Amino acid sequence: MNEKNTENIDQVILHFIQGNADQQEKATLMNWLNENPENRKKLFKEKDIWNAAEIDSDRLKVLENNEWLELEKRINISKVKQGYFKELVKIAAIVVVALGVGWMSHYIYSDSASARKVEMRTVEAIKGQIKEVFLADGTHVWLNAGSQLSFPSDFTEKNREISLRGEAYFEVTSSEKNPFLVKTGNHTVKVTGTKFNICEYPEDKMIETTLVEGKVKIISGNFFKDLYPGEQATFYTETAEVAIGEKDFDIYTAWREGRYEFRNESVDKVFKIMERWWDVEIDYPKDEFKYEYISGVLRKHKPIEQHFEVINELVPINYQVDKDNITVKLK
Amino acid sequence: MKLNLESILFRKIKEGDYSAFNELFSKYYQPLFLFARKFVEEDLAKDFVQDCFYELWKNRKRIELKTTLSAYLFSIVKNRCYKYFEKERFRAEKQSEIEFQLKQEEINYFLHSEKSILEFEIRDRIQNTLEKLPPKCVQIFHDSRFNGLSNKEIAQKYDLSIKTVEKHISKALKIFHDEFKDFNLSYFLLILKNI
Repeated sequence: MNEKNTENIDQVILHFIQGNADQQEKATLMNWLNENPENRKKLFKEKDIWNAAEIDSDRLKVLENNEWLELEKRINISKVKQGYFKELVKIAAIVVVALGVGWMSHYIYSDSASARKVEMRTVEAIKGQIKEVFLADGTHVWLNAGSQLSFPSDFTEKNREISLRGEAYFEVTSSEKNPFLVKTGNHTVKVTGTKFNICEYPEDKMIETTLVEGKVKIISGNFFKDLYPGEQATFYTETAEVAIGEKDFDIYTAWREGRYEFRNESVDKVFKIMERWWDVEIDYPKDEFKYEYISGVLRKHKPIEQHFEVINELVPINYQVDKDNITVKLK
Repeated sequence: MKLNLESILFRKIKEGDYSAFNELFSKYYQPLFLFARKFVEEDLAKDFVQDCFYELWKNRKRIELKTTLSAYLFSIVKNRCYKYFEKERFRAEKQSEIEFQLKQEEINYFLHSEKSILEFEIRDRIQNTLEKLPPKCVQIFHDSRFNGLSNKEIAQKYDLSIKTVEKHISKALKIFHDEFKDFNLSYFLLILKNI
């Protein structure tokens, strides 16, 4: 290589590390890399220095700060149990106390009265919220946005039937003798000491039960089926059919930490989840999106616009945000 | 000495010391981000690095270190980037893109042959080196690196030719290069002294 070329390659390297090499220059670099293994060292070391020189710039300090705050939020959502964030723990404790007292007072009252009146108590996680609830027997429930959980006021060993609308994750301590029943419509899940997730939003027209640990029995009309860890039962409410499949349960339980992972999911379903999590209305032509399937992650602590940007890379869309109403169209 | 400090920090984190975790974050966030940013878009880089810290905190009780804490963090971020490229490789159109090939070469370089200077404690050295640059050189380097000006814009600003601007930047880089020349070697010496 003569002097002229060496000078030339230095210029190309500079353009490349500055991020503004054109196609031709990149092609030149690729050829040059293959000429001699030492060239790799020269190029990537130089770029490495260029990258490293940005450290502690104002931009990065701001970024670091923001990312720390986001990380805290994320830890905050998932670690309520461990008592790291006092305020949230307080809220959870109030729920526990409230349920406990409610149950106790009713118990005392009904002991003296012969006519036992069973009231249903309801906890609701409104859109945009994820709630954690402890039932009086120690059962731990996470309620996803837009869900309701009802349970009898005399939540005793013998009477442990609760009903759910929406999505919830349960960690139940119970035995074969005293099972725990979760009703969603005419579909019942009988539970004995387990961890599982139930998702039943009426608009989805299906009930998904995903078992993480232990054992559950699905009862639907005359249909009985035992589920084993890692299995998911999908009950289609319109046809009353049940499908059993193996599922990676991490995907179905990560929402508790404000993450929702989806693989090959219809855009329709993803939009529904976004509506519940960010408490917005998404208006889109359903027919046009019918065949669009995408994979990705929703993060509750991030702005919804950011998620539309990502979707836009997978399925080209135009979207317009007007307060809580978002209009989406295919490009 | 460095190894000892890190192991104390990690022990504190394992015990649930949140301020120790914050200290670790301040120390490594930027180098990890800059490293990931070489290979993936800014948003993905942020995600990879945040996930890395999140997982560390979440699994702190279970994690047993076989290397230093920094090597551990870098290996996680490196592997995430590498996996990303493995996945992308199957997309036919990516394979033929030269830009993609160059990035792949670069990740392989840092995965299999050399360490990035970002993996070392370089903050002070970078600051010192910046101070050593000739005044014109540092101005131009600064405009290009931090203010995001193009070489053409810088040329107009100082009434120079683009070629001269590029020469100044190359000169700055050369000085950096010389400063970090002995880097791998000095790292080994440091380890030897510790033993």
